[in-house]
Amino acid sequence: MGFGLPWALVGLVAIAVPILAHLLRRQKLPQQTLPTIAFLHRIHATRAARMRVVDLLLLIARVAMVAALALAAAAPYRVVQSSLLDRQHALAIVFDDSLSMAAMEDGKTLIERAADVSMEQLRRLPEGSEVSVVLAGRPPRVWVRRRSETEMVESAFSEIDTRSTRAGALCDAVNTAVELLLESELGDRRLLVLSDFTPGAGAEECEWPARGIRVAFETVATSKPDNRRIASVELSGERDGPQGLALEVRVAGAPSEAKQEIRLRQKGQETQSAPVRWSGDKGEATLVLEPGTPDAVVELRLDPDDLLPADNVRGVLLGSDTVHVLLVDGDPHPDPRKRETAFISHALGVAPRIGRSFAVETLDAQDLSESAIIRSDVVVFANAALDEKWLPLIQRFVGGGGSLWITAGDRINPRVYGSVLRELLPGRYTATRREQRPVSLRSRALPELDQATVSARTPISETALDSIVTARFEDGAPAMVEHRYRNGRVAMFATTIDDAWTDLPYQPVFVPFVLDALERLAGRTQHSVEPYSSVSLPGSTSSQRIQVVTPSGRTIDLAEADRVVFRDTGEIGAYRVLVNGVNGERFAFVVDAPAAESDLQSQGPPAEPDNAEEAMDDPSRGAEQPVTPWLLLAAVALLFAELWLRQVRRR
Amino acid sequence: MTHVLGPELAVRLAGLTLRAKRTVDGLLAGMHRSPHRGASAIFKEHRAYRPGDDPRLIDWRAYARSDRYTIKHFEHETQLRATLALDISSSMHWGSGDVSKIDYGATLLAALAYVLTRQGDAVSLITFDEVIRDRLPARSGPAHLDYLMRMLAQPSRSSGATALHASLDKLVEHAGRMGLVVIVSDLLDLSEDALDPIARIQARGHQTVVLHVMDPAELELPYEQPMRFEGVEGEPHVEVDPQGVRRRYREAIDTFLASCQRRVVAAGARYMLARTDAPPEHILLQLLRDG
Repeated sequence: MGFGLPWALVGLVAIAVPILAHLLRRQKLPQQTLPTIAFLHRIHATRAARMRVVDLLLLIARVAMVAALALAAAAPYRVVQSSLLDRQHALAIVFDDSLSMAAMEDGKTLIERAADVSMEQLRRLPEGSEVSVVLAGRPPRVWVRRRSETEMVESAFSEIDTRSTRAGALCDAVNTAVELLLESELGDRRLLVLSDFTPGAGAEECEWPARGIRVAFETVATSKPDNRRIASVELSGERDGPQGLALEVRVAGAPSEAKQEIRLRQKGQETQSAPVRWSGDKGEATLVLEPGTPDAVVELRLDPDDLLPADNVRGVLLGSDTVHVLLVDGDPHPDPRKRETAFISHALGVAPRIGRSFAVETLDAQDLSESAIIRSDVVVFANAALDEKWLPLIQRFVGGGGSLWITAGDRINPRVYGSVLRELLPGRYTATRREQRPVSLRSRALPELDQATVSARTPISETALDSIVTARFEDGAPAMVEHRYRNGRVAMFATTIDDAWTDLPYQPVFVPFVLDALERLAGRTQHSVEPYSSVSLPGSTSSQRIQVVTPSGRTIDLAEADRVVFRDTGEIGAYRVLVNGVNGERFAFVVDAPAAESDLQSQGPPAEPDNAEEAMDDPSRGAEQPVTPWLLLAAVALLFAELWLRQVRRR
Repeated sequence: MTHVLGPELAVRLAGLTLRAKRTVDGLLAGMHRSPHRGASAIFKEHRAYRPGDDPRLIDWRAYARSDRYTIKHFEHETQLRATLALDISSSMHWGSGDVSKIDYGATLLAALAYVLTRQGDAVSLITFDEVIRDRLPARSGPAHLDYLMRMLAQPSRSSGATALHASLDKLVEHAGRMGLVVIVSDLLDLSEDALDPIARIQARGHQTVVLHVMDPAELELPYEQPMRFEGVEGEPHVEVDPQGVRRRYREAIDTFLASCQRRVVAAGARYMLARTDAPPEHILLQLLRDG
């Protein structure tokens, strides 16, 4: 017998209430003289003995009712003695298959050892028991759902990936397992948690089931948590600079007596290595890439391997923060200074080298190609007369996450733009007009924009409902309009991006204006992800083939689609994306080992919940059955008894 | 009298007269017919002289006219001797409202005494509980009435229980013969022979009236919540929920009242229940109207 809320037993003091009421009632009965009392004596003589019994029963009923309610409030339960050997029960195993459980010891990973422990438990289960298995690597997965066939469950254990790279999601897995147990019709419900209980598991933060489910922990951990990992890589210099790009590699973990070095792999080939210099529990190594290296991503490996090889690998993106801008010049000129794109190109060249950098490519409109567009983040159509043949390409580019910026000029034909790109555009160009006097620009984000004036413009009308006007003319007409189209963004500018119609390029605000627009259009691209996360990539088309090369060298062809959600990210390291066999720098990404998983020092099971058990096979432990419903039932019965006795007393 | 008989009640009762049903032998002339015929102010009849008649009663004027001896027959009016008996036991001092049973009984007797005195009858008063406590001999006249009223207004305070049998036995001795006896009591003497002396009173030629004074609370037990009931004549207390026993109590009281009435009537006396919540004049009117 136990109590879920033992403090509620204080309520038993309330038993004194009916007793005191009974005594006080006897003492404080109002007195009344009555000359004919002799007649009462005659009647009462026969009633008195019965009334004493009724009064006593009333007192007992009231005391018992109060006691039942107080006990019910304390959530009592009784422990029904049972043994695993003779009682069917529902068992849910939360199996930690996070990266730390992939640590090797004595030729076996911890996952394999945990599987052995699980199967041993399975063999002890009485026939007819129900077993569920929930894997606790992120995301948690129901590996076995309420099965009674032990052989099937054992088979499922053998299929668990013993080289997991997953982050820990123990708490989510526990919640899932509890839900499975609650679905079971078997009354004896048990939860077994198998984990190394390292900091990455986060078991202390879990909410353990309070009632009705017995919890047991089984720690499977390494006895010597000797592990190192590549903690970080810092890039210095420039890929195209004269000194090349330096990679400062920092290693964390216990120093090893064995010589250790960092090996650099490019496109799967090891190209150089550097020794690790240890200082305390921190090691460092430096590698330098030759100037002009074409790779968007490289891979580092700490050698030799330790208990956990997975966190010895790290992919490094060499240009992850670069926004690739394609300037399409619709009004080319032999003199570069007079090209339509001269000012914007210059502005991007002088942009401060803080935050994201811009890789600029300029093409004449007639030279525009699919490959040029596909490797870009933002395409700027500067006064470009539109060719209808580009439409499918532009639609796929923007739909797949690229962005488009159209600036006005004398080559823009509003009618053609309206008919060809109508669906993509946030508004509609109308006939170009020259101003009687220059009008200035306005922008809340860039107040200095009002220093710029415009002498001619191609007004934007019929703006889309989802469009955002980021700049206006002084008369309130939209000057810069943007909106989202599928996964990308499209912007329209109502005047030229050069000095033909405006003095904006000569104003100091021009550079911030351009950078602000491109930053907004480029958006954010996730280049570093957790294992088994999804990555959005452009899909293949009839004319271009998109492939992903995993760290282990597997090549995966992507399906034909605007965007493909790529989920095969279980390997740690650098993922290259090939566009028609060529590295697509824009889409390269890396999968990093979860840092918390590298700490293999077990903290042991969390503080035991009230219903925790050290071992599942302890036959002396019984199942808890709540007594509260019975007590409430008894209280109701006593209430009826009390009412009946009161009626008897009155009769 | 002022304390016991209110002026209003005294005026309302002024026109009432009491005529005893039965003739009584009194020494004083009054409104009641006497069985003794002879000289009197009220002529009744003439009849022929028979030997043995007093020659002084021969009407000589009639003899002169008819030459026959004729006797002139007068009807004598005698004085009524009324004995008023008031129970002053402890139980009579109790009342659930403003009026106790003894106050109510005293009011009834005072009114009766007032009426009787006005018509020249002699009234005596006896108070009793276990024994006769006070006795005022039969007299008539305003001074006597005033003295009687004071006795009724301040009866002796008794702490004793009612012992009807012994008290009424003594009352027989003091009441004389062939008069009116009015007993005011709650009759809370539950012994079997308590009312037996009434038969003896009747046997002595009295017209006996028993006014059974009861408080409405005694009759109905109107209390709602459980109570500790105490007796007034030394009975042990009892804790009772009145709601639970009311029905049986009323049955017992009804049985008691019926028993009292049956015994009184069986003795030849008259029984009247006087509830203290009923106006006293109603009781008196009923008493006097029915003779």
